[in-house]
Amino acid sequence: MRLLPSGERAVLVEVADLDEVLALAGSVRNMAGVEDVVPGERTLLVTVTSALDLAAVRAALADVASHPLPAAAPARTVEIPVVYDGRDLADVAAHTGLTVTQVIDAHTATLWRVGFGGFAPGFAYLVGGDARLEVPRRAEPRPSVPGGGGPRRPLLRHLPALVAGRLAAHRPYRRGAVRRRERPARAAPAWHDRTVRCPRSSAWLSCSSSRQGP
Amino acid sequence: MAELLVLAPGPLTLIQDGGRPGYAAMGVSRSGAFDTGAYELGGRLLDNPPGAAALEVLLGRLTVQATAATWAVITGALVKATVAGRPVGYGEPFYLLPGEQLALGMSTRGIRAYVSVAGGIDVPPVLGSRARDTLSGLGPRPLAAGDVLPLGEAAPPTRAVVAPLTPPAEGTVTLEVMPGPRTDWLADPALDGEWTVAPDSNRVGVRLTGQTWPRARTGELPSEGVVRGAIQLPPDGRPVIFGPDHPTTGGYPVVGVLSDASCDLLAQLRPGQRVRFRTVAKERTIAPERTAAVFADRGAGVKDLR
Repeated sequence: MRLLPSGERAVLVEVADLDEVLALAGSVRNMAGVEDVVPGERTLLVTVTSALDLAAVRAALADVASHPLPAAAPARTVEIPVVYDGRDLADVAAHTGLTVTQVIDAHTATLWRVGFGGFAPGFAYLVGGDARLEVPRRAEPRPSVPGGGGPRRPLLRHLPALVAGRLAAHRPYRRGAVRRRERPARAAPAWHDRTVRCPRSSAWLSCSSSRQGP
Repeated sequence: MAELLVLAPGPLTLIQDGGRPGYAAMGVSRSGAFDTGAYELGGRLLDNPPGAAALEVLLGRLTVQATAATWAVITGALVKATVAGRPVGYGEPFYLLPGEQLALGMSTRGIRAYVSVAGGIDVPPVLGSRARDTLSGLGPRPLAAGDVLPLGEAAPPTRAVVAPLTPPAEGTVTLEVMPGPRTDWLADPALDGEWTVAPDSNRVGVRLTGQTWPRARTGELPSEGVVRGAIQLPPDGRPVIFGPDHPTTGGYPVVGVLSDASCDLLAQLRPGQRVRFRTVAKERTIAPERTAAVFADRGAGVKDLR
């Protein structure tokens, strides 16, 4: 475990893998002085309420790491109907050397694990799945969202799940357009450490026009 | 109940407060006032409870009218303001009688003025906060002409105060940077040079143009949590500094993080203004005995002993 500085009121804890991140997040969330924890692929960002608490929290983190972490609870499967109509779908196919149909089949045929939420409400970064679907991050961030260049495996790691119209308006990612039907505010908290199956669906299309715009 | 009637919202006026901490793992940034020092000062000058919501007025041009007599104050960006045609001071609480109009001109120093009103803006909170998060769309929408904003219960301020405020700086601004967490991605960690604030900067991030920072390494970084004030380095080498509505995770390396005080300076930078960076110690350290004194004093309102 490495503790990396991240300003006056945060420390970035770097660990070996996502399992360690999730186990650590559970132990750290209720620690005194901790304001928020943000899991990443191999890191846990820990922010503190006051800069004065940072040294104490760093010491506590080092202590937590010296003990074995509890195993994460078994995952439950959530099924999410999606519509594959995204602007970058053909691009993703070109990158992977698959046809669009093969991309969709690969995406729907495997179980994904929700590694962590983030970026914006309703987004979940997915891990596992079909390794053929890996694509690089965009070289330049989208101008509409400074710094937001998208995840490393946009199609997959990500369920662009924000209320769909808003996301379409922001369009922050090179994405294969996996859109959720459910409202993110209700669904997002339940996403941690869940497995997701993505069956094809056209049901969402019927309500798509009503969800355009903010 | 006292209310504030919006006659003209200006280019962009948002309701902001201390933000909504604790939801970043769900992708919800803290948000809240960009210039926290100016916002908090406004609340203190009116004896408002901590976290009372205020108006964050981008570039000025806001006109409001109160339905009941109320105290108000302007902090942050320097703007000329009048009440019923009479000039009012900067950082100096003033009284607004029913029907009188408070009118802000264009800001002349800085870009974000805070209009705090006694009792605070009392719109319904979302996830515990009245802050508008421009990235996720949470919280009250930007003000529009005709909006009626309820005000919280307020007692008159208990003391007459005028804050000796220094308006936001003109010219080149130096921002304090703490290195890390990914400074090792920089070919030269000195952060030397001067940049220009790009016009497409906002509460999500402030983009800088000018020279680029070469990377020491290539490849991709796994997405990780980021903080307000983080300086992210996209592959094109042009830094982006995250504001209060930043994405909660990012995949480009963060080569440094602004100090909290410099985040407030960032809030007031105009497009075209020049910035430099000054590297400061990785983390501020405070002697244990001083820490103990601060903890003992915290209830008395001591916020910061830097």
